[in-house]
Amino acid sequence: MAALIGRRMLAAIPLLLFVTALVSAFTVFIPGDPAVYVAGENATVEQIEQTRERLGFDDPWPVRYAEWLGQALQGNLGESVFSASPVSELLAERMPVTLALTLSALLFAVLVGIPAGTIAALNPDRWPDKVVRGIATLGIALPGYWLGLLLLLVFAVYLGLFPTLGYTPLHQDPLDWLRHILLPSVALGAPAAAEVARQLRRSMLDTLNQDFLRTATAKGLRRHTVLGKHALKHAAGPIVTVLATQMALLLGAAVIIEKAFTIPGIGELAVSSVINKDVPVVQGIVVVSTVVIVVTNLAADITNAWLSPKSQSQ
Amino acid sequence: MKLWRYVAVATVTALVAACSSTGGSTSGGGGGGENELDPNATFRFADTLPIDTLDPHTSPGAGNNVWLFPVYDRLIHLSPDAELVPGLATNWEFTDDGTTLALTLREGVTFSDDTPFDAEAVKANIERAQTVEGSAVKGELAVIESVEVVDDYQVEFNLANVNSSLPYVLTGRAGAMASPEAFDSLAQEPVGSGMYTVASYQPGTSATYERNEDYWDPEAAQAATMEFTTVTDSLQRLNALKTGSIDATILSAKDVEAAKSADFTVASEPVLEFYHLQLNISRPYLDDVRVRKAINHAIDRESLVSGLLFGLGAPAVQPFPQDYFAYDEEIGTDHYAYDPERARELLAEAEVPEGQTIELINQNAPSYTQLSEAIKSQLAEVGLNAEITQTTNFANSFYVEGNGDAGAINWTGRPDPAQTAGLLYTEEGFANPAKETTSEVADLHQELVATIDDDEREQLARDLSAQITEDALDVVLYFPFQNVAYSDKVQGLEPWLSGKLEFRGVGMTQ
Repeated sequence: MAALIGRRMLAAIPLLLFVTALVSAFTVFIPGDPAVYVAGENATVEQIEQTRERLGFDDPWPVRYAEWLGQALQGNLGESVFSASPVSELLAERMPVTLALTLSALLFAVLVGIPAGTIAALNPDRWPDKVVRGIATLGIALPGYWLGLLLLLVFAVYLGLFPTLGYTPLHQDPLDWLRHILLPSVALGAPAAAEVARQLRRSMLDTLNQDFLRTATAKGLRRHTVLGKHALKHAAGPIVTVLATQMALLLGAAVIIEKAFTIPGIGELAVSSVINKDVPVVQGIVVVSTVVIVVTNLAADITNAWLSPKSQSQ
Repeated sequence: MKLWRYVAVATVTALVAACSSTGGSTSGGGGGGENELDPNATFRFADTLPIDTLDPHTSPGAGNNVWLFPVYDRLIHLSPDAELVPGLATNWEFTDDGTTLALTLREGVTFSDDTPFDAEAVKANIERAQTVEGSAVKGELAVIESVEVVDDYQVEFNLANVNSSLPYVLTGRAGAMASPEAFDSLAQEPVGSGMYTVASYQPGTSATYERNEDYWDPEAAQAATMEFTTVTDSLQRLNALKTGSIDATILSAKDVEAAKSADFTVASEPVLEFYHLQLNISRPYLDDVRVRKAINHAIDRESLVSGLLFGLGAPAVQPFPQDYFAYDEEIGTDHYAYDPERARELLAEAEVPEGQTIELINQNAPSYTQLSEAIKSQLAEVGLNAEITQTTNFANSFYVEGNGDAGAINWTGRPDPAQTAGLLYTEEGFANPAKETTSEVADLHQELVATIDDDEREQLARDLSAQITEDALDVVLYFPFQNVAYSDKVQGLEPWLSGKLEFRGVGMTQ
């Protein structure tokens, strides 16, 4: 297990280097020049030129990347071009929000997807299965932001049950936190729930036809023991993998959901930073997101190893 | 009404100054008459733009004033009508033929960290604003060569040349006074002497303000707490208002009707911001005043306002709104009446071929694209073929790189007409795409900047506005109304002519 973790951590290093270099190169193609804005609205052309120089926008990207990397290796992710706040501080402020949102969305996916998938698998091709499959297909097809806007309109604007914007940290007021996070989590987690339900149905159906389950049933084990202890555990492997890939997708989808619900998370910061060409912030977000995804995948592998000792040797 | 309020503020100010030595018992009876305001209320406002930094001297745009000014008083303030009123300076006058600006400072003011506000603090602030790394206001303050401390409450700015815009400049971020003890940390932890202090702040999203109990004008901060958030989408701001997440906001024209039908008050008034089809007058044909006049006649401003703004705007041909001192009555709003026939005649006179192409630079966002498309179809009526090129950074593309022939964009307005004219219509003007102008406009602008007498100045500003319009240096389109929407609990909120809301006197009923 320790070897697995160590290997993965080492493998993450070239990945991070590659991703950040790529982002650095891409920023060349973002049109516009933040110096025009940063220099102030009454600035002269010379002042804009000085600003450009001060912020190093004139240097070619490999030079800028090397400088950034040198600082980053010492733990300094630089400062935002616009707010002059340290990037690490911005991330520390925004990341918990996005993590809370994505983890709640994952939780929603699990809470809805697993019962739905199980029910479908136990009733193959009968009406519960058809309903689940129908809703799941819809869930995958519907764009999350559309669902989000719909939820906002119905539950927040018309029924007035939830706020339409903002965020309260969990430790400050758990109930208020829930009111802020529930709708966006549902909107964000719905496609993931659909994916989980479909995958679990398929994998349960495969499992249910296997000999060891027939043996277990023949042994006289109770039905929920057969399902819960044997079938579900066996079928859960693919689900863990699905959840890990969903985590990466959710981080991406959070960008739009955060915008729709005006939640001050990393996605909202990412959008404005890209548009404004605030490269240090974009780099910081990429680094943290990559780390989150690497860690999630690692966690998935560890869980899979625990669920199915066979895969541990691989 | 507004004048009355100004007089009232000035009177209260004088009273407070007089009473400040006798200590702080409440004056009583003065304010509480019209509505019972809740002194412990929280006022929640959603702004349209994110705030990047709370350091006033590095903050690049006047849009940030909304967030900065509750914390930082300026040397001179603007009234809701955009006239100069006392701020931290109670009096200011040009001496030595206008090469010195002498200011008398308000006494007994301290910053919220208890650092006293005095002439030394003014000197430190001006020098910081001129030199701090990333200063976004040093250009505006470049005219100040040195700051001289005369005594504790008298300070003199020695100027490189006469610059009558300077008092207006000092109403902005350039004139914002911060505690010299806190200069290094203003971006995150602002320390000013304003009517509020910042209790918490998240860059780009939100800030919480708490009343400064020691503020010199006790009528200014009526709510104990103010919470500002950024919501960039107008419909989301409307939803937040409807669900009671906020008490007030600014709405796009399209959402005003819905807010009114949900029983919110919407105050819609023109501000100094306007939309214009800017012309690069160095381009072939556009260097001919007849062609520029033709384009002015080709635009149906009424239909732009009714189609794009649902009527919530004022059609205009000059760069200053009606009722503002720089507005020229004779030119009025109808100098270039919609007249496609006249436009065709002028184009024919200037020998512009039928179907001549004009490249329009467009800021890639729905509102600008709609406007560009509307202009394109109106120009087609008079035989001009507008081709739209998209950009994500209009200023860079059109002003710096010099792309395109014309572009429809908004001008956010400046406290002084000489600033607007200087930036848009002089050779040095950053926002003048051609960096060319007519000699008449250049002369009038120079004269305006060099004139310190108020009456003469106002006349010159009007003449300048008329000249810009006569020379058709621009195609001014309309002044969109600022639509300030709020719940029935909010008192004292109204649009500010500057276009940047200040929340003086804004409170909430129980």
